[in-house]
Amino acid sequence: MDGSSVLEAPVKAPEKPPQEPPAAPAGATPSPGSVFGGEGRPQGRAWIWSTAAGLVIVATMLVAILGITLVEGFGQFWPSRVVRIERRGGPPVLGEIRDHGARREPGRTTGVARRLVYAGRREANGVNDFQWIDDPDVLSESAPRDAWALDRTEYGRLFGTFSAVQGAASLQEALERGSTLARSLESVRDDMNSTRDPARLAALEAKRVGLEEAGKAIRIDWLQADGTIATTAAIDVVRAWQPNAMGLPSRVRHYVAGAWTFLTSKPRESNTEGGIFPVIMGTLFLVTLMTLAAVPLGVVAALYLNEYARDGWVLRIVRLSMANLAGVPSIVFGIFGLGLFVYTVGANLDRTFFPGRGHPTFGTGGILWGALTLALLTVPVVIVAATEGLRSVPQAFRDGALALGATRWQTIRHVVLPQALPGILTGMILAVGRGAGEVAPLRVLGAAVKLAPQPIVDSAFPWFHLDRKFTHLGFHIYDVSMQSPNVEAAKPMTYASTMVLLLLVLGLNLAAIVIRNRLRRRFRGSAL
Amino acid sequence: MNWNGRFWATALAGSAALALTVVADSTLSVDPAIPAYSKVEGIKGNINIIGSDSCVNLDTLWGEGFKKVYPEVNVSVEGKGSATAPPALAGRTANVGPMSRPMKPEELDSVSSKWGYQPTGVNMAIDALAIVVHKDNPLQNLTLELIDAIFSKTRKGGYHEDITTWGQLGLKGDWENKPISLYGRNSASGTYGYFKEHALYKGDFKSNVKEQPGTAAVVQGVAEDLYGIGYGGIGYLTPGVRAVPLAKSFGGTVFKPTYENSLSGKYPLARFLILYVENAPGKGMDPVVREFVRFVLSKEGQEIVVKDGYMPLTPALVKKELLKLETK
Repeated sequence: MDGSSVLEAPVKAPEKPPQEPPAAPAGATPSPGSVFGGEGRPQGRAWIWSTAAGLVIVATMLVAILGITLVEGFGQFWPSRVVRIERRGGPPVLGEIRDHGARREPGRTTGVARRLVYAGRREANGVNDFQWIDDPDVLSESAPRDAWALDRTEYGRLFGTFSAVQGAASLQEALERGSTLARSLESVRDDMNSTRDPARLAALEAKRVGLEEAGKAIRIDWLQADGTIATTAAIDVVRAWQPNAMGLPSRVRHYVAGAWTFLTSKPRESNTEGGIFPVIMGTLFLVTLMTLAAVPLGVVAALYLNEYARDGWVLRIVRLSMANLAGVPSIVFGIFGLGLFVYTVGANLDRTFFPGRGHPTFGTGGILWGALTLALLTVPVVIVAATEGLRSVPQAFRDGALALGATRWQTIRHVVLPQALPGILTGMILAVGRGAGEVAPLRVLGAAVKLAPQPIVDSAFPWFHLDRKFTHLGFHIYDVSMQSPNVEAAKPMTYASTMVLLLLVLGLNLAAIVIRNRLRRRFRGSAL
Repeated sequence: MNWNGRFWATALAGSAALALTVVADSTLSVDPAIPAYSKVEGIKGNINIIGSDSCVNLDTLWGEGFKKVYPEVNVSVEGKGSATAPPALAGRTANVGPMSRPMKPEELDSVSSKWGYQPTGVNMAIDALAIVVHKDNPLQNLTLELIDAIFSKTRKGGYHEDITTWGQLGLKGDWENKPISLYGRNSASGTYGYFKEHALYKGDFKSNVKEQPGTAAVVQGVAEDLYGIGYGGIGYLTPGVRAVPLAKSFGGTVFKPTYENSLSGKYPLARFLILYVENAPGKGMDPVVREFVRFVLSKEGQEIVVKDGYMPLTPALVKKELLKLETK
């Protein structure tokens, strides 16, 4: 015990400079030096290794998260092969292979291999739209070149070969007229939603009924793998393609078109299909509002703390509280926001401005309360970062400005603030990054919802509706992964939405970093 | 002491052969006697739906369908659990409150103390609460007593021992010593409440139940965990899991969670999903809410029920529910 204690001495104090090895007591045998540093050669190799190992773990986790999300997210829009499987114990299936696996049994690592086939057509297949097929049951697998895959407005995809068309001369014409009708119908519905004029409403309604009738008249028959015929109305076809006959250029076109539709269209089928445009807009508006509220407040507070407040125990306590506030869990802010904004401020606003409405306007979670709650959450982050920025401005700059006769405010406005701008922007980056990903407070507030009634910005007065509920990317990811009726079908949506959120936050951060670096360079040139 | 349990486990395994021969359900269809929805002039306003998470997709699909008929109406949907419906209705944050269990007396009181009268509950769909296991799990059937002994620490069902391994349910070989891994819902969920009341005989859940924020998460958890068992609405089933047929008690007949068995009440965990709305005595319902409920009870609305994996009402049930919409 007493012999080893000497060897362990440098372990307890690895920061000791290697030039001063601990004096070996007389009579101790000279050690060849352990990996933690010995008396002869205190190298501390193990400490270097452990730091490297730490970095490897962190880097692996980052690469794994980003890699899985990007590969799965970007892979969603690539047209996958449609296969026809003849099998034992069931009718043949036409569909996409979505996964491979093996039968699992306790105590064994391998089992019978099987594949998950997506056959679509939930209206006919029910919960069997996804089915596992064991490899030994497969008699033959082929990829027919004439197989079509269809994205439809309802009940998932349809796979089949073209059989006949009614109400149009050719399949091509039917699909084109279908998509034109669908677009017109969509815009008529949007107009109906925004108009308040009864006469115009009646005209639009007549147009809507007419378009629906016209849409139903064009029908396409598809031959199914089991020999039956499935009919779709052309207006219900979102997109049709022949994956097995596509060359690389048309695959790329299909991919780009798919990704573009995903970003620019509305969700369908309880968020499991369609796009995420309203969700992205909701997130952007929320983050913008939050930044507008949090950054000025945080910067002003930091200015007072750093430039005006007299140093003393009060200031130290305030600073300490700020630093601690930055680490308070978001759910606490959510509850606080619910109590302050929704139940107190909102309810009083309703009582004052909208009496007798029956239902709450501001007394329920809306985008304004969501943004303000997130602002509360991020203000401490901004203050801490802005304070660091202000501190980094050399005292000599202030003294110089004051000596030239500038007032205190002029000094701050023209000398200190521009110099501290990079630090302030860092605070903003951190705040935006944290705010964009927060879901818990929004869920507590009831501000982020699964289906938002109307967009935050529209043509109805006052155009920007702060009281409205909204959809949010973080919440959307939670919803599609935890609450989808068909989790298997929602997986592509989950990955793609996660990827968009990651790219959005990355993009915002990148933009801020670029701005910061530009500013830094500019001031480096001008300051001296 | 253990003999009794072994005996029943063997008896249950014996009836497995019967369950195996049952063919998979054909797809459900809505009875053609349920009339299609007819549009009414002059409907506008907002439908704000807050409540059950089991119903959240149903609500969203109905909202999407309703908006196709009435593009001028706006629908919002929020599903955090059945327990969130009564306060939202009372505070008029929502005008439609879907729940996966009936309101408790104190919840009814909390709403009627604000409104002056009680909310109207309209049955909108049938759900069979399914007990799900991993698709490769050979377990054939269960009884409510066994479910209680698996999920509950109080065992009010009267089973003589705590069940923690698959061997105690009669599984042989490598399964015998494998511990059962439990998945369930969080306490705001109506499914949680319903399960507690009917499968646990109002007892308490074990503390090692992994509480999930949504039924899809329960299903996903069990699909990944070979030794997992969980519960959730039949609308959430995926090919990764299998619903276990149930008997009410030992010696009883085993029933699969099919439409027929749920309608007849033979499947022990069948329930109604309920929409709570305001039907003021003498004044009647807000037209937009009334039309929304009529849409839900129409052919189109019930087809959406089937699309989401739940079970539609019969024409007789629809007729009965439509009576609730008339002004009292």
